[in-house]
Amino acid sequence: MTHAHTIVAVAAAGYLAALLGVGCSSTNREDVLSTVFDGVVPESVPPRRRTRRDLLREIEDLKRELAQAKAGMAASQEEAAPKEPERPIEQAKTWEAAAELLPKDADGNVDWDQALKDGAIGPRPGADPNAKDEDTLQLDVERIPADGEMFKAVFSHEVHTVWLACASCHPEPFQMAGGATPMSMEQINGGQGCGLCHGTVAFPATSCGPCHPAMGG
Amino acid sequence: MRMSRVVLVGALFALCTLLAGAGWAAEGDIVFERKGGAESGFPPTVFPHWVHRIRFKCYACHPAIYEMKKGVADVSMDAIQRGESCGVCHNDRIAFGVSVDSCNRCHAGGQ
Repeated sequence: MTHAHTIVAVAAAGYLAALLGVGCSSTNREDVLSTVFDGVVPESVPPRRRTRRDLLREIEDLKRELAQAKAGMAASQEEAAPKEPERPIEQAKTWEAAAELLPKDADGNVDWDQALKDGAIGPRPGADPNAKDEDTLQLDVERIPADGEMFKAVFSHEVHTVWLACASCHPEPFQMAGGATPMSMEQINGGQGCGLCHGTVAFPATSCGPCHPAMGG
Repeated sequence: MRMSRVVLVGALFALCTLLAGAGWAAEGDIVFERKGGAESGFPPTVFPHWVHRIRFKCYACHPAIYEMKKGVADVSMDAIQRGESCGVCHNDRIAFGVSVDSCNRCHAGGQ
């Protein structure tokens, strides 16, 4: 080969290499090839095969994310339900110990309303820490039994609605219509009607005064 | 396990009067008797109202979780573990949950 031939060969090779380099680079590929071809196959990088190291790194990332999420949840939960100081009565292990911390009424029975006013107890309105106290109802209901005016009983909604909601008692066991539900001391002493609570979780019927104003002590 | 059933408060009152001397029972306790009769040797559960009353108002449970009516409440381990009945609170979040250590906290009847 002559010198000229060599030069031409090298130049041609160089030119081809340049073309290849430009044509194959991802940035110019489309422009260059579309001068000759109608369409260019979009370049897609085949995914690199994931190695063990990749997987381990992924595990660490996920673990970190999980820890962060848990910490975030715990923080928000603590904010939602701030720890109230536990009252001494909530640490009582027996009824006797608890009753000692509760005020008593004139008849010696536990006075739950006074306990609430004193702050000896702090009953919550519901399991949900965001539950709200229900409104009380100002409504007294009188019942005069056949025996006579002396045995008139007065039911105070106000006192009861501090603890109970409408649905707690209405319509079972007490119908909404005044005077519609039969009542008697026998029934109460048998654990029905008022006796569902009075004699179990509230002062017993042996304490006449709170219900029968004319028979109070 | 067969389901438990709430017994008459009248009988309970008598029982409590007897147990009162033991210093454990209190007014308002409800003893759950198993419908199928005494089963295994596992003591029945006694529900102490006072423990709950000092922490919650009545309407927290009545009637939302329990009707104020004897004999209708579904008090069973199945219900509890489903998150119903006692399980609404006794789920290790609001109050202690069911675990090997906590059996005696409820199944203490007859002490």
